[in-house]
Amino acid sequence: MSQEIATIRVTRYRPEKDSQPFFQEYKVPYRHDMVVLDALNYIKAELDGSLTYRWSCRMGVCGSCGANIDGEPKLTCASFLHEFKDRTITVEPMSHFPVIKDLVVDMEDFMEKLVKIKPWIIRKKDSLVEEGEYRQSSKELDRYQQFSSCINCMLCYAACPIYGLNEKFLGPAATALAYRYIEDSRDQGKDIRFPIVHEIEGVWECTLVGECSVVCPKGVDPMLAIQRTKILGATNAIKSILMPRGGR
Amino acid sequence: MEHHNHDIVIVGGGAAGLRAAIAAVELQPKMDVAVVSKVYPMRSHTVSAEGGMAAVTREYDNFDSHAYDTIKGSDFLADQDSVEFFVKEAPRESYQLEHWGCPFSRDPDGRISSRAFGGMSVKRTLFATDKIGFHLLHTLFQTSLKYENIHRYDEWFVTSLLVDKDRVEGVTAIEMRTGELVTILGKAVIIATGGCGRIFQFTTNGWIKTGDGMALAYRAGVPLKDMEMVQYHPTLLPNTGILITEAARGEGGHLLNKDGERFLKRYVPGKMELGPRDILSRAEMSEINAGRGFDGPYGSYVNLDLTHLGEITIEDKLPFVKELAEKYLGIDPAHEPIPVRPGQHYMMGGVHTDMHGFTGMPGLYAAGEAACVTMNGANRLGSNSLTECLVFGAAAGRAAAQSAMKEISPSFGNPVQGEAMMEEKRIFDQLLKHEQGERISGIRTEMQNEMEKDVGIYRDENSLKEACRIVGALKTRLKNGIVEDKDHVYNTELVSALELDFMLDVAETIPYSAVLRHESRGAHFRTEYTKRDDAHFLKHSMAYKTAGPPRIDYSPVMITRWKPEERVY
Amino acid sequence: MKMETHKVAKLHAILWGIFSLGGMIAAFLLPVMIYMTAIAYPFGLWPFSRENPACPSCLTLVRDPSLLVTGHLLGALFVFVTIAGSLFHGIFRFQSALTEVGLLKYRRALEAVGYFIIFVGIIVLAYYLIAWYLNGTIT
Repeated sequence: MSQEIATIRVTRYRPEKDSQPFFQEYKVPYRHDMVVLDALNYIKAELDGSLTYRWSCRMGVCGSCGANIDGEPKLTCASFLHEFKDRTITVEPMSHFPVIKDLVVDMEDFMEKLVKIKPWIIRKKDSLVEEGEYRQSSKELDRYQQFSSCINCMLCYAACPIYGLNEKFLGPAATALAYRYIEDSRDQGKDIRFPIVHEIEGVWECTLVGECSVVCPKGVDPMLAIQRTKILGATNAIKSILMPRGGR
Repeated sequence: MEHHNHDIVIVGGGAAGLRAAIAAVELQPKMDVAVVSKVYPMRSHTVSAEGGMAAVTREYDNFDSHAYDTIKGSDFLADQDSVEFFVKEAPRESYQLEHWGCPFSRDPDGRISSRAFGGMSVKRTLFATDKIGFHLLHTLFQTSLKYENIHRYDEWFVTSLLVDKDRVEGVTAIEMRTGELVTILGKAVIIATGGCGRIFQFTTNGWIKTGDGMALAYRAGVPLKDMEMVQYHPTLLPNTGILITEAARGEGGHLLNKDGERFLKRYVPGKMELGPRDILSRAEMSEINAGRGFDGPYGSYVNLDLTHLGEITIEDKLPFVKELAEKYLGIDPAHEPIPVRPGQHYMMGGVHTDMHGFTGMPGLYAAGEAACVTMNGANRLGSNSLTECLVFGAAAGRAAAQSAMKEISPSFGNPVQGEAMMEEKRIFDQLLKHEQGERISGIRTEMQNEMEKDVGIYRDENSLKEACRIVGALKTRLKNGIVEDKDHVYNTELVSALELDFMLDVAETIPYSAVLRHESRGAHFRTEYTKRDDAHFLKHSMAYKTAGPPRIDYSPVMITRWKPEERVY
Repeated sequence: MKMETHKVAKLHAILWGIFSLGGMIAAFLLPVMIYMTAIAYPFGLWPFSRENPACPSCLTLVRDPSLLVTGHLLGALFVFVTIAGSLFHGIFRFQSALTEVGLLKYRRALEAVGYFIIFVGIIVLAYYLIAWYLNGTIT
């Protein structure tokens, strides 16, 4: 039986050599249970040691290996070759991020956004650990659980046209995370977090394209988080006009 | 050469490293802490832990029970003082994590839920569905962002420890983005780089688990303890090695052979699927060797059957198992069994430390899987390792902070400057400049296959000696390995070469330690010495780096209240 | 911790609230209005009725769509919310569309023009409706 072949076209860009990104094509032996990451690993091990990309867990949870695969932001470890026509697959770096090398993008902007929304429990007064856990019902957990499932893979930013136009936009994952803390019954930091998400470049830039929620590999719905955060913003603004002296 | 100065330099940004960083700044808010990690911290392999974290939090449970389970699980090789310290700190660390926001699953009364786990005599494993590692890591990472004195060096690859007169004064690291070698000096260094599963071919571990920290300490003169104790987890997907959590059995899943029989009744009748991992992995291999396994394209396997649990339990308690089975095998575990086989999962052994993470070398600490405290002995119980990262990460962070308060900052002069220059030369003038030679990926594959073949679940004198020989030969070959990518910017191939260099050093200690242990204990099973031998081997092996092969020495096991007895489940 | 200042986009929040809620209500009311003016009235369907000799006592709610406005305060409000809500939703969405197609450069200017037209329209509409309601006739 002759070995079946898949063709992988990968964006190459090595800043020390190349002035422009270009495509390089590789032929890899095809197996039905192969993911795009397996193909990249084959190329790096057997064909071209200089191909550069990030990966680690190969099970869809570390969030390292996002790329634009045939134009769609996806995790390379969770995209099977057999899903693509003709076994010809184009792999490019995620859109909207500066490229460091080949498929490796600069994620500093995202890291800054992460810090900006203060992703930690804010309490007016911390309870002692000796007193045991804060009680939380399953219902209260349900209110934020899906938003705590974000793996920071940034596919949603690669999919968001608004982020592509305006990098100051807080964007899907960071808002989802902010909303995760806003909805956590243990958190008391709404007054601190609201002004951050309700800035003009917080949630208001979002025009409800919804691609973020489509591409999320973990079933998080950032668009929902953004919409709910907008509703909170609108009601707060109206309240503050109707009850200027603190109606929260 | 560029250099940075901090009070504490932590190598590794997973559970142990981040917990250490937070502990240090909480103890002393002015403490200037650097977390140096070769990946962004939320990519650390802690993220892949699934089942849960053990701690005594219930009325029906007590410290002695947790300690005894752990010690029995370790086949009495654990240091019992460390275990006692561990079980007492475990609830505190769990509640602390909850206070920091970890989205634990809850009981109807709002308390953290606990589930059954292998080798634990009661339900004491706290969980967040089946993604505790992911949630724990993100909770710690996000909490760490609160502290302005925690400085991160994300995607910086540490290449060596800088040592001045037997005192560790910092590290050299490649800033991957620029490709420059930089020194980061500190009054204390904590190693929290996790395990080295990638020295094996079939492992649950992520690509980044290359034993960097173990090798760093080992090269600096600290012994690696109990390295022959390698945990093989019983339930990995046969193709990829992706882990199917023990929680699947904790929630009631069954292991079945080809005849549809719950074969564990022949091996651990008292515990069945909740037996410890070492025994279960061997039981699976026995079934397969007896011809009662299934044959598949990736070798023989047995079935993990969850179909009787029902869709709701799987959805609520094991959503990640469902996701993994659906995505990577195309099967719905509510309707079809999951094929599994045993594979490398965890290193009980690691950098020798005391229970405060101190390695014995001034200025150097270690915690988490990279370290060997030792509380896991010859076999770790499932769900103890995350708690271990928190308890001993915090302990190491505090100990390092206390020591740093007394020390003065190292200065960037000799000998560390000289060492750093040598390191720069080794990497950029030698390794990167090789034009002719062998591709490193081939050497890596050979190492992985050899470790898999000869240092696996069953070992004997011949296989181990063969492994010693081959790994030694691979080390020589790596000296002539080439890195094709000559760029400085983000050179992952260069990093891989340095990782392989680390892995080979670490890998070598395993067969060398194992060949001298003429007994079977916990995960270490010798086909010619199938019984435990307390008279001769109730002791820790200590592998020291020499110019040649590792030198193996021994240290006593600390026994406090639990005398070694036969380990029957 | 460093002090940070965040400028909450309060006006934008309120505009978004009107866009969202107003748009939703307008979307419900618009078909009602179209039904009344474009279908029910010309064809004499409920609630309008041509003279029905067979049934003099049949309930006839309104005879003339203009009574929608002049007949009742709620009627005037109905017309106002439908038209103003639609206009507002339109301009807000227009602004989003400008962002999506990447006309960021012109967005502020187009936005300002758009809002100006819409607000003027809404004020004129309100003026006429009030006058109509009060006088029963267009002044």
